[in-house]
Amino acid sequence: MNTIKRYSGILWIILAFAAIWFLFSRAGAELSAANVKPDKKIFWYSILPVYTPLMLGLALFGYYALKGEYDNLGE
Amino acid sequence: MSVILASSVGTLIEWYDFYIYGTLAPYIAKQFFPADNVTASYLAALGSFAAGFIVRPFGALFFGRLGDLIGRKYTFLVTLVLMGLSTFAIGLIPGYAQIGMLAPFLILLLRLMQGLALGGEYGGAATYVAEHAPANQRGYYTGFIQTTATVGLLLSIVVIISTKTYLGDEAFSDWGWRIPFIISAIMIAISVYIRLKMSESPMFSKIKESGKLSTNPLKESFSKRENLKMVLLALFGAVAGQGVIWYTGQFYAMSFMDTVCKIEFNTVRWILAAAIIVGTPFFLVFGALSDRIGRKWIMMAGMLLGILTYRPIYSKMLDISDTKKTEIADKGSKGTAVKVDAATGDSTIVTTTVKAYENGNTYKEVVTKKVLADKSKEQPKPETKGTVWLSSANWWFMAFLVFLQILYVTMVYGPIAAFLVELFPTRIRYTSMSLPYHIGNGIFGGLVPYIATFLVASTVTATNPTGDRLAGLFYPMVIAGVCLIIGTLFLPARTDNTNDKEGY
Repeated sequence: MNTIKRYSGILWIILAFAAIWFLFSRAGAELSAANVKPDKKIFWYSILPVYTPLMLGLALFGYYALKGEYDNLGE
Repeated sequence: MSVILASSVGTLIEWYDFYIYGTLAPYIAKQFFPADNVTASYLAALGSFAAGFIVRPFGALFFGRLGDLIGRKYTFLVTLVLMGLSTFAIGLIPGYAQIGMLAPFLILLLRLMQGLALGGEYGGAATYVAEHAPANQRGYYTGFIQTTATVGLLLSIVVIISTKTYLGDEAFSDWGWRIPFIISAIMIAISVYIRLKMSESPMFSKIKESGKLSTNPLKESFSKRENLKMVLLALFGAVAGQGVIWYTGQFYAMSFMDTVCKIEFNTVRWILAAAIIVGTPFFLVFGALSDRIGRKWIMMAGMLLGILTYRPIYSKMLDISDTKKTEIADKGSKGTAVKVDAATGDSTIVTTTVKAYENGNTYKEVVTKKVLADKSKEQPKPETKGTVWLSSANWWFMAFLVFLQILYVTMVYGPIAAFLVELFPTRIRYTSMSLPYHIGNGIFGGLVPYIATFLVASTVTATNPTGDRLAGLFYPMVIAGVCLIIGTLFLPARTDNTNDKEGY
């Protein structure tokens, strides 16, 4: 189980950076359109600074998992 | 038990205060955020985002730190007063028509204060109750705190519908919406009185007496690797999934019935209320069960059930309210009313069509067309509003489908307070558990309606103008899926024997 936990860490790191890339590419596409509504601007300008650190948190979780920080947890 | 009930009442009132703003948002927008004013529109959108998503975690950090430094009792007394004063004040602020731009600014400020207070309240109440409870009954005791969010929503629905029904639509829209905010003051006063009589948590008092309080709970929670890794595990292995299951079951279900199924406003609220009333005892059932078999697998089962059944459930909800069924031709009616404005000469033509269907449902469509007397001006487009009334059998079936979702909510949410409390030591518990809770619920969960709407809109094409109406479920299913995998792999099976050691 510890081996699976460690290798899954790589998955969480990839997932985190893929999510960040997806968010920024979507925001770029939406905000560069003509006549962007205020609520859409607020949405993306709120989501990006909130979600990016969260996804970095997921990457950090993946890093800890990879390093074996969660091995034998609760056993 | 008196400790639990006393602290639960205050938390329930705080949830009530927070929800009435959300439910009454259209009325507030009309009074304070005129659509033709760009700044006011920005403030309205900012209010809904900032209070729900950004400010709550800040409240968790600010009051969590305070709770670990000076104690649980006084901290969640402060959050209660802050929430009560903000809510009461919202009910008294004059509208945009009276004081101009000051009105939306004041409302935004008060809404942010509500968010801050909520961010501080939950962790305090859960910690306080858990620290009073016997270790082998922590799930059951904190289950009472877990009912408060749902019962708070129920209370807000009952107060709003009762006030609206008593006053009528026009008076409610004009000034009656203020009543639910103002009467909150009475409820808060009672809660403050009750909380003042409560004593400090025994575990906190013990570490305070032995001089083992944390001097810097924020630093200790988030800069020490052994604590930070548990905060991350709590967030990505449990609370994020719990948040999306909760928001899908209660809020997305309500929004889906309102905007996609187009079911009548009060009917939607009563369906939700019925599902909540039947579902609420299960918070205690699953809380108590988690004391016996552990918290982990109950929460994971709730997430799995959500992932597997959301699409069939929502598909059935669409089917029940569908207006493309066979119509009973001789039961329908159609009428037209024309109103002419004597001053401008403009006329408004209202065409009302009522259709009855073989499945027992009724559909009412109102098309309002304004015709300007000045023909040189561009004529406005007609507005169409459709409303579905469900047959008695369909009403109950819809309530059952919402109940199923509430049941999943009780599975993930019932044991989570005890789980979070047990994951962190007493000296930094308030701070450490509050942050993942409010990120999981405020951000991952709170975003469900917005991201779901975005996903549905992204499937709209010229050939399919309604898009895939179930596409919105993709977001909660993915977040719950990731959380389910992380939780299954990483969470310990039992948490109820940790962090009770002397010195914590």
